[in-house]
Amino acid sequence: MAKILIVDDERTILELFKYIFEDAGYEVELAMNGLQALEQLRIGIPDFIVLDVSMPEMSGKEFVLELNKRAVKDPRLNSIPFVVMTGENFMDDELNKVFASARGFVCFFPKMIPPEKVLEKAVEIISGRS
Amino acid sequence: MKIIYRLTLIVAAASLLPVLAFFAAVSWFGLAYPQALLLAAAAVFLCGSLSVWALLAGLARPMAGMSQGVKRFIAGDYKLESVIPKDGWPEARVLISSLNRLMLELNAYRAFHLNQVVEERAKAQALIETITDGVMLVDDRGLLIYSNQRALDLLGIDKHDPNIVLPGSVKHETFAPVVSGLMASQENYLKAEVTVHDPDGDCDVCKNFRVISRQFLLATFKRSGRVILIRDVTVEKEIESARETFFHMITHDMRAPLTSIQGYAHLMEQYVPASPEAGKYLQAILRSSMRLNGMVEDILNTIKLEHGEMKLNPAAADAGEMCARVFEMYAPLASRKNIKFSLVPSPSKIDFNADVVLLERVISNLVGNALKFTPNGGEVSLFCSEAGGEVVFGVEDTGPGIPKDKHKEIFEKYTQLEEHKYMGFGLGLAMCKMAVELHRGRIWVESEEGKGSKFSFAIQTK
Repeated sequence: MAKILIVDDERTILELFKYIFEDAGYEVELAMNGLQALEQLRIGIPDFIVLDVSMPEMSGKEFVLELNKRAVKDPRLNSIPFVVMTGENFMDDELNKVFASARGFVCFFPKMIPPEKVLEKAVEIISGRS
Repeated sequence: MKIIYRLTLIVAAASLLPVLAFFAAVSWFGLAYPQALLLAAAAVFLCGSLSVWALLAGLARPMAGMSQGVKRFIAGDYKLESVIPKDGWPEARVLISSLNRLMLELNAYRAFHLNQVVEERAKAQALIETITDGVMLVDDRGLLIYSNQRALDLLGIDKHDPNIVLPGSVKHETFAPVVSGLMASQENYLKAEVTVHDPDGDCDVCKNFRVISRQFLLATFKRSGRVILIRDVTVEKEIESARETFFHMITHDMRAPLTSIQGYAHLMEQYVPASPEAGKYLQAILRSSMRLNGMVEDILNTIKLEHGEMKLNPAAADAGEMCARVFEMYAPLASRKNIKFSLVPSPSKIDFNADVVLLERVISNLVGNALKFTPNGGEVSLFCSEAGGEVVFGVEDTGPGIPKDKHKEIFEKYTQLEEHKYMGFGLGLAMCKMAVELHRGRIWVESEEGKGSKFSFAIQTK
């Protein structure tokens, strides 16, 4: 069963995505910030990550930069596909560049897009890989 | 399996099984009718109970769960505590799943929007509290909507007062009448200056404030509110005053060398047999020094007029002659700019008493402006006339015109239309107004954008 990692500091968003993805038959892991997400990666490598941008402790951007760094030593971390949920910061070019240049980057989704769209994308990416 | 098949099966089983039981009892087991009927009745009871149980577990229980879950969600102000457990037949499970998604999404939306509102509010608040100006928002009845601490402090309003209303709540005695004035006015944009004295009455440490008020539309109430901004302009005023002193000093010191340039240029014109070329240069020197002299006079006059130190030197004046002198002075400039400059002669001689030098500066300023703003090929005319015991001087041009809402403002010091920035000090018209008013006269402009302007001033002849 494919594994999905959802990273968002808003509990309600985590619950929503967890339900949708579990309903679709995926195994779901949750993290409330970048640090927790890195912790989850230590336990197991997910097949797909849904990543929020602004989070306390470690933001989405910092997480991706750290992921890139660790991927040098650990090839399993290289190119884990991920989508980025952007809120008001979607116009920040500098930020977008960081994500867009990461190897696993799939696409941006505006925050509060129906979660089914994200699910569709995940299904497409995961089935395309296997 | 579709729900309809499942129901049909249950109904069929529940009705057929007792009949089968009856026949089986009679034909296979050879039971007598009464016993067989008893058995069939037991089968009816059993099948009935079983079908009821199946319906309960498959449909009724999940429905009860759903309605309970949704009710709990609504009662909890759309805050989801727990999802509805999946239960019953597959159709019911799908329905529960959809309901859960809906509730989760609503829940997330609610949190998202709440967060956004809180965040926006916090941002605005942080900004408004950080700026040093006092900021206030009031509705059309003067009820306070929002204010920073600075505004409350300045106006002497107690922030614990549950109904702050302007101007009633303003306790500061200097600000109170100003705020009352602002609130009473219907104008969209208002500006006022306030000088606040130290409690000891020592004006060496008094502070100057500018109060600006602008109307805006309260989206939620469909009414107009007011933003009130109170800015400490003490330093601005000090700089302005320093600038004036500096100006005054410089211009004052410029007078003497300027006079000698003019004087010697005149002498040279008279005594030195000049070539045509040199004559042109001399004329240019004279013209320029005259213009510079005019500027210096304007600045000194403005300062004197402002401080009430101007003393008029009234003398017998002839309006026609005054116009002619100014006309002569500006005719070369007009011809260089290819502007048709004309002097309209007055039908009769107009005699009156006035400070001729000062009024000639006024006319010069009006003509100078007209020539400055009228494009090449345009027309400027200067005239004077007498009517109703007044002499009226006027300068009409075919320049760009002045928007209606600026007709008053242009006579204020340092006010220049945005598009005329950096074209002079912005002192000319202010000086004109004060000079005319010192003669107990009046000055005004008639103009429309794109249709030229006509500046006039009138002074009593008696």
